[in-house]
Amino acid sequence: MSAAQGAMPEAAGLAARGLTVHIGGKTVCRDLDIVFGAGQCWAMLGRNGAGKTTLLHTLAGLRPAASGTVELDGRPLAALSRRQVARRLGLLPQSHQDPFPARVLETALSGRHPHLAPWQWEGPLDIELARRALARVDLAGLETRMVDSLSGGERRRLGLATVLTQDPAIALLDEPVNHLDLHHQVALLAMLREATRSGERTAVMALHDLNLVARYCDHVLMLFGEGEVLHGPTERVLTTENLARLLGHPIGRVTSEVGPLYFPM
Amino acid sequence: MRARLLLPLLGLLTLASLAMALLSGSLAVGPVELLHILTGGRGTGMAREVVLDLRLPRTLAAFATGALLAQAGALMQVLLRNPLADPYVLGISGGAATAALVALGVGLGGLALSVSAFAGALVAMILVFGLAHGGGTWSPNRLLLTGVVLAAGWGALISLLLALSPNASLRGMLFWLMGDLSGAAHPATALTVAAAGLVLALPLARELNVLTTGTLQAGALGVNVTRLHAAIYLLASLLTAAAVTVAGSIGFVGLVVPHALRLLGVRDHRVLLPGAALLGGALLVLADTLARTVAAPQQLPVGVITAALGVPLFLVLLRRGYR
Repeated sequence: MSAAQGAMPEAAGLAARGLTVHIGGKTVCRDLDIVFGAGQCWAMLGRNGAGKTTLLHTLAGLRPAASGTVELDGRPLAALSRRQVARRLGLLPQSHQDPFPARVLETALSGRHPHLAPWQWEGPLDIELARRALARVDLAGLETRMVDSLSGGERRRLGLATVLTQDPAIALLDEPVNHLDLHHQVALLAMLREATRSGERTAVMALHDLNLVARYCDHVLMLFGEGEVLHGPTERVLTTENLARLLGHPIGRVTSEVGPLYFPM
Repeated sequence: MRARLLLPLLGLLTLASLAMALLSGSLAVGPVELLHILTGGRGTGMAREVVLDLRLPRTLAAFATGALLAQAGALMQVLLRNPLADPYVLGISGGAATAALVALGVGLGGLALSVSAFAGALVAMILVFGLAHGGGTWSPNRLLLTGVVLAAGWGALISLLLALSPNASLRGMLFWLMGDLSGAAHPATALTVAAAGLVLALPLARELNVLTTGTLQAGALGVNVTRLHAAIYLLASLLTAAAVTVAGSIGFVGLVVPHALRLLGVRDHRVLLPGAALLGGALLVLADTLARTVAAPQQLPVGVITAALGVPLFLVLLRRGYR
């Protein structure tokens, strides 16, 4: 039975219930209850080593939690197959591994994997979806390039194109703007914001750039380390006091024509 | 488009290699006579016996062994996420060789030798899997290190057995270690295993494609990575065990054939796996034909010929670069 055939879920989206996550003797979060609702664009903030990546992997079901559950559309992840999960939830890893040669289009096309039956070959429709995803991240024309000939930023955008081809309702993105130039950072976040605004999609991103967070994310989850977390709408949570405590560095804020701007003091 | 051409081409290459193997040897058999013999028609008694009882079983055994090794190599490379992995890297052939040498040392041969080699391969396989799995976590690196260290251990045992063995049995042992198809009389089992391996691996082929981009990415794209790893390990190990049981440790095929196909631009494992089986089989049939004819009546170790064919072929492909 596929997820789509199940009874209409009460809560579309991703939720953590009493979630406790440890890594390397550290607590990332303790008894975390949180709902990443449809239509929301979340930023995950924290210092290096606070556990952003670990929490994203746990939310994706790729790492066991110490206790508590992660629910996808109201059903615990453990009750779903990886394939069922992958049709609804995508993850952009922090880095990419390419030990084997591959072409750009083939890599983007792998996003269709969870949607195809085991014996099914990618058809013209799948290729069209992958091409469109590549165009959305400004990689049109590079379809036949070898992946190892791409620049760091292009490789990153190819990773995003793979997620876009997968087309999950919930996208977990681990530092999606890493390696991207300024234009592509803004273009990418604007696109993700647009996608969530349609009301059916959710994005949860680990980010470091406070100004991008302020401009594009409507919700913020702060990981303070040692299990303490704070989450809520951006305008309520993204204060200079919270940020100074979170980052261990005094933060200033000014208002500008594009909204608030944050800077280290 | 290239892929669609490749498999038929490899099929033709396979047929050509089989024909060449059946036509070559000290007794001249013409193509027309060969067709007659193979189709059950008339043929002179002598030619008939040579083709059907000697050349055909050995040729089919060579094909099956090459197909087994090339498939196992392709699977191991994905499992260990290392294009340099070969079927022997985890010590499965070492376990088989150790057991085979013990069997040869006590004077066993034929079926008992095969059973012993297969048992040795199974022991090596279970040992690697058990030890690599021990800590609970299971990573390609841990598996690779466990396998490489155990392979070194098997290597030491093999050296010890060679040092302790009387001169009379050394020659047979060395031939076994270098790979030898002269004793392979019953190809049906190996052919069945090679075909079964392909049938079992093909449904996993698209998952293998995804796995080449990393375990995390594969998990995110809906692959049950733990289960897939276990399946590939079991499959690759059993294919390797079957190959070494038939022909000893023939080197090079398992490393070079999948890689040569990758250099030719085959990246989709749905094409790569059957392609590797065909190319590996054809390469070993050619190599074995040369091994038994080049210096006839002297037989050369087939492993020497696979290297002599494989090294230049591989270097040429490598110079061209990935397509």
